[in-house]
Amino acid sequence: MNKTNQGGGTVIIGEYQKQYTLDSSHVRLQFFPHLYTMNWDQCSILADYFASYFAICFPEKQHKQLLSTISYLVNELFENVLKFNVCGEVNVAVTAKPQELIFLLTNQLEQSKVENFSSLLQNLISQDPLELMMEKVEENFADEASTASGLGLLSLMADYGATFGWQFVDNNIADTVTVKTMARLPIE
Amino acid sequence: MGETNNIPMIDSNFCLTTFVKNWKHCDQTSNYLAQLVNFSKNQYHTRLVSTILNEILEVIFHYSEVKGRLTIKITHRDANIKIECKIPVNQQSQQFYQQTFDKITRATNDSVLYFRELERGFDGYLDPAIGLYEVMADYGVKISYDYFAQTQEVSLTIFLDNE
Repeated sequence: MNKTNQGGGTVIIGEYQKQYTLDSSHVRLQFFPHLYTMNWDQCSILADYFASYFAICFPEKQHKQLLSTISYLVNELFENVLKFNVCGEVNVAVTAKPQELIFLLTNQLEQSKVENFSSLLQNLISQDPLELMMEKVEENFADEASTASGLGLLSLMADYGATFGWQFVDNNIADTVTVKTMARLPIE
Repeated sequence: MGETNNIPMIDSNFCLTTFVKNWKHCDQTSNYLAQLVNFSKNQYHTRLVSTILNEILEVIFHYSEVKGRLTIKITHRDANIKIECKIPVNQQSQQFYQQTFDKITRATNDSVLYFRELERGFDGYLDPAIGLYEVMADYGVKISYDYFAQTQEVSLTIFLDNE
């Protein structure tokens, strides 16, 4: 199964590589949404910034594809991070390797939401992403009120070969858990 | 502007080895940070933040052999914005920053300094800090300088009145 308990209140779901950290990244941005309110517009502005910054680190023939893929991925992840952050800072960091880009985002989640959220994530990564995406699209089609979530991540897995992993770290003090989301995007 | 009352807007951190891979990173980064801090929707100040950061980043780019991490921290108190850049230096780049700010300190007038350095540029030597002199002369921006020998960093701090 894709879930492992690391002890000390730490749980990992999916493909989470602990050697990639915020401090070892090539660009790290820390936001303070509890102190300086961010509009939704900021998600796409950030996504476009990272896309333009990192696309040009790769050969020119890949720029066009990378611009749209990175922008899509960062927008998807950053929107989720802002939506579910309950308090404190939010971090977004990117590391560029010759064959892949590694994205790491952190936020604080309410303890009471961890179980549902981790079940949702496990469900997303434990099945074929294309099949699951089609299932969810059909669910949405059959029931317009359906809010089947995860379509963005499934599309990134199915269409772009992205892999995802999450680390949940119990904060012990407050009733919150730090969620670290890692996405790895292969560069062909 | 007291540090304790400042509200953080963004704390950014860049690996210089990757940053200096492409000149466009200066423009992209200054534009992005300027858009983020545009909380008053004042286009003039967005352009100002972008211009100042771009000039600083281009100076950093000029010394592209320096390794380490650049940090840019932007805070505000009411309408005032404070931008703090911490820049890793080697002996050569530290001397450059020191000489630049010695010139700024000695200058009786920012415009005089800018035009004098511009004229020297026509004669064959263009000071890499010309962009900094320009924003100081054109926008009345004040930049303070500090050097931390222990960490081999310089800091440039800019205060903007966003009224």
